[in-house]
Amino acid sequence: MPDQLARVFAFPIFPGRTPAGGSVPATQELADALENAYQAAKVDRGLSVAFVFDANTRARQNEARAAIMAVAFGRDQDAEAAAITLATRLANAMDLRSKPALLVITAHGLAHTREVVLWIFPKEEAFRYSTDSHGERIELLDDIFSRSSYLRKAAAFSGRNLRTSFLGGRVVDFQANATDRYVADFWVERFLEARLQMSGDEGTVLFAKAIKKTFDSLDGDVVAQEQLAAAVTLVRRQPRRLSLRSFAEQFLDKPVADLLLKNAPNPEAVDALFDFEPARFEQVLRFQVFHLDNGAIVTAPLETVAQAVTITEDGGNRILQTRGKIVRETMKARRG
Amino acid sequence: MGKLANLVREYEARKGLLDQLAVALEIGLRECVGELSRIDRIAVRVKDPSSFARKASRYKVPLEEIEDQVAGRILVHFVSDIDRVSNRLCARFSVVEGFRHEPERDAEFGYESHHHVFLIPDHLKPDGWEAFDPMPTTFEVQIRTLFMHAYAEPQHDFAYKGGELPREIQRQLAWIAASAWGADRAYEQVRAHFSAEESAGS
Repeated sequence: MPDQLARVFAFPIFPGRTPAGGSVPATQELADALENAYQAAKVDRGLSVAFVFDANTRARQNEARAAIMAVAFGRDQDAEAAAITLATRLANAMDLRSKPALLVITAHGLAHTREVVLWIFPKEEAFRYSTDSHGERIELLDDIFSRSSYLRKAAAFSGRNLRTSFLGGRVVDFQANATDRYVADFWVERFLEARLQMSGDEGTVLFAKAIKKTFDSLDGDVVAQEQLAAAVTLVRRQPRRLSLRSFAEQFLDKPVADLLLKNAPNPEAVDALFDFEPARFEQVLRFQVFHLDNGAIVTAPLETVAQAVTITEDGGNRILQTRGKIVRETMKARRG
Repeated sequence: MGKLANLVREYEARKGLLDQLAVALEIGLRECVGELSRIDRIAVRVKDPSSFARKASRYKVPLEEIEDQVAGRILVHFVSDIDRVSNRLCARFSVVEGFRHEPERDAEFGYESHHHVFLIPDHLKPDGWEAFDPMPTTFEVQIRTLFMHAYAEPQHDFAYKGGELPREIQRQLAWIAASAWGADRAYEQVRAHFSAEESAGS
């Protein structure tokens, strides 16, 4: 939960236009409204992101980070200049598909540790109904910014005035897993010049391990195993941005979903979004192994299951069938 | 109790969490580069409290600012392997900075190593991490060849008290560093010869 509200800046942002705006009074009413918005959006449990830095220098330069730290720790005029920098970055990061929005930048705390929260509240239209001695009226309001819109976004960064602080933060962006990467990347990558803390490589390995563990622990529950395998096939064919939770909720029945989430290394990893990398997935989890009642063991690459290798139902038994020309043979010792 | 002693006690109280983080990071490093060829070893260690104490006076908030409280080391066979490893690490972890430790003057030989500082990912922080403040936000990874390591590592065994080393010792160390540097270059040429031959044969 953010500390005492120390500074507030607000800028109506129209894509591509130079933003106007600046410091606004940090009233108690505004502080309470923003606090409620923070709690409702669960900003402190948002996606973990990291600022992007040049991998070959010691400079730790990142314009968004520098501006955010100036808002937190700078003198008043430096903080205001930094807020304008952020507003300009946002206007430039938007394109004509983006809705006009109100950018609100708040700085919290006066001690060594401070927090900066950036908000986007999209512009919306609304009706106001009123009644007075002249009768009932409906007015169209077209200059309001919504605190509860699904398109609102937030980012929070906290720390000390040190080179080791403000390197990463939390982001709330309900579009972050949008299939349209341009929409998904606008807030995190283009505006904040940041990246998801869980890389595609790491997320895919974590995902593959959790899938394997879950699949193995479902030994005997053929229906659940098939459901899991089918869901994995779908994701491999249409790579996307996902988290263990989004995968589980979208594709699996609750008992299988719960099992999968239990196999994550920690709660934080359950919700961490990453860009699924099929090639990496196949490096970790490439084969499905079938042990047959006749003693044969069939090892099939995942992409051949349900195609070159088919499983059919026959009198309550699952029967594996495959047919092909042998192109190579190897011998293998039993492991362990 | 003195300020430094208090600080070391605070560090020791956090050490269990740092140990858990080190295990998670070592798994991550192995997943990331473990399957690459020509990796000699991968290790992650937590800074010893006495080493933390020696460094602490240089920082305002040492419990956050000392960036090698948890540090990894990857040893590779050839100089050209360093970039390969470095690129993999930077794709996986959020890089904060990268730099090459090498002697400043062209005609000088000494310690060489490639260092990266990465953000500690939130999803690798063990339970209980948030209960302490300040905590480190970054970890360091050194990447070096076996010869760079062969020059640097034995020096930890010398009871070096600081100050100027005798001229003869300085020259001996420079000779070892130059030999390691030369061996790395020579091995790189041998590697290039064999990989050219392999491409010609394929």
